[in-house]
Amino acid sequence: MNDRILSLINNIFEEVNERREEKISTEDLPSLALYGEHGVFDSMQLVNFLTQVEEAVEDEYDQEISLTSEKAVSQRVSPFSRVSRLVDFIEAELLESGVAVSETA
Amino acid sequence: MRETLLGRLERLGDRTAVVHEESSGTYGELAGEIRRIETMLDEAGVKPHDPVVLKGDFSFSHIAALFALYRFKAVVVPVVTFTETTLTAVRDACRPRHVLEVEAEVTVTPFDAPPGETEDLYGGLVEADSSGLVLLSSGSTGAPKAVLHNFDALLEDKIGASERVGAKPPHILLFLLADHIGGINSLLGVVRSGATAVVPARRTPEEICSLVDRYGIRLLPTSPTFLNLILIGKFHEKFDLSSLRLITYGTEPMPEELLGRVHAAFPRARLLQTFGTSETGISTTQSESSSSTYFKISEEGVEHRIVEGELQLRTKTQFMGYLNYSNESVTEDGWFRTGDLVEENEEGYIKVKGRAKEIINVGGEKVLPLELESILMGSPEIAYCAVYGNANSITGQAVHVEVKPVGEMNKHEVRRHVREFLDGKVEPFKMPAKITVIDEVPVSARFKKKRGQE
Repeated sequence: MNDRILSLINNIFEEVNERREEKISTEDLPSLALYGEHGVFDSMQLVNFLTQVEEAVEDEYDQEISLTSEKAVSQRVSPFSRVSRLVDFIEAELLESGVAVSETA
Repeated sequence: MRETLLGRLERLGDRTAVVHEESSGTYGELAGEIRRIETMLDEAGVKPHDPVVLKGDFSFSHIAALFALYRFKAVVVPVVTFTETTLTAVRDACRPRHVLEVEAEVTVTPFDAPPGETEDLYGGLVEADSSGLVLLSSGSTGAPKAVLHNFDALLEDKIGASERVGAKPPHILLFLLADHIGGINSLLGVVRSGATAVVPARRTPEEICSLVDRYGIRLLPTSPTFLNLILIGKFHEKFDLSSLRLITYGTEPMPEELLGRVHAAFPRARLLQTFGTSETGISTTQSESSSSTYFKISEEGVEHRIVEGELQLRTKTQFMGYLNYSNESVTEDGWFRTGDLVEENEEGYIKVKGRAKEIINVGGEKVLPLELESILMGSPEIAYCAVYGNANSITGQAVHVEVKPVGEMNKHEVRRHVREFLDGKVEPFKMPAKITVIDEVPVSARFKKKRGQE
């Protein structure tokens, strides 16, 4: 799993937690479920979270990607079921756009 | 009315009617120019009820041409500039026979497309023996709607009844364009009061403010977005605008917080909302106060009702129909559905909350852009913002806001500020998902706020 992308996501959870009463535990971030059964977000919170991730990815890699597209939603294994799967999805999207994705944070 | 109009202009004689760049013309000269253009129309073979494109923006000869076409009982199709879309809409919907163009010279030429029969389009006008006016109403989707008015009825309503000519004619700025209902309304207001129309060469905040300063303009009809551009550029501090007695704002809803800023910048001017549509004409209103966005429609011949939150109007100056669309926006009992969502307070004042088509649907929850924009304009850090919906595959739409900060702020600071400012002020589903920073305020050709890809 790409640590650099994971660290971007970690930063966003820190921001999200600042405005939440009930903090989301990021102890085991890669296995955290975002949406669905045991998911930490409802659909609106998910969209807001994903938009922030998109912004962070764009800032980091200078490449716009969509995490709320039909493609993201219709993946056989949902990228929203675990953070690690979201990281993989982002990495695949970046590679597809021709962005060299380095492993280190 | 055709004769009394000329008579009235002639009686005003030496009064200045129009000031445009370095040139100006009196009412007497305007009457003469109307006669001259009528002769040209006659020589070009223009017949009553012929559709004629009137090309160009307001100027001395343009205004004369408008009245000449009215006196000729033509169907006037004013177009300031042709884009591919408007040209196609005019050709297909209005089937014009002639183009009257006002540049350095006035010319009348055949329209360069084979005209179809127009009797079926303008039969109602032939029957009423009236002139017509076609306004292209810019829709966000599809071809512009061609809105047909009985021009006789419109003139009768706006300048027919009584002359309101004061001893000292005011200067009125023709800010809105010549092919817009608001522009036509401003012009008719000038003629009714024997005032002087000041036509700007460019409609930039700087140019408009310099004209107010130079001519001591008393009435400025404008739009909320344009007023904000004046404030953002601080043009009200660079020019002496103390002559302004009345600022009217229309064409789009006013965010309450922005009204507060305008009121603070122009403490001596009365602020009045105008309300109207291309279809029903412009109505005079009474604002609850200069700092309130609540208003009453206070015009004889204008009825209103609110059905399921939407404002419906029935007016004396109502349009005859669209030339290129079905009339489904008119109810069976003759009310025009404005598409404006409004609320009414206990005193019977109404307030526009936004356009029905601008509603953002976030997973079934409804967000009105104006509500969020109004709240955000309460932040001293935000100079301008526009809220609209972005499609996504999870909640259907998400809230997107574009922000121009007052000072130097990077996008991270802006995002943080917007989220913190809204936190606790709005329900979570109204919280913008996406926040982008812009340098330039985008403005539509009608001086309205441009939301997203409109």
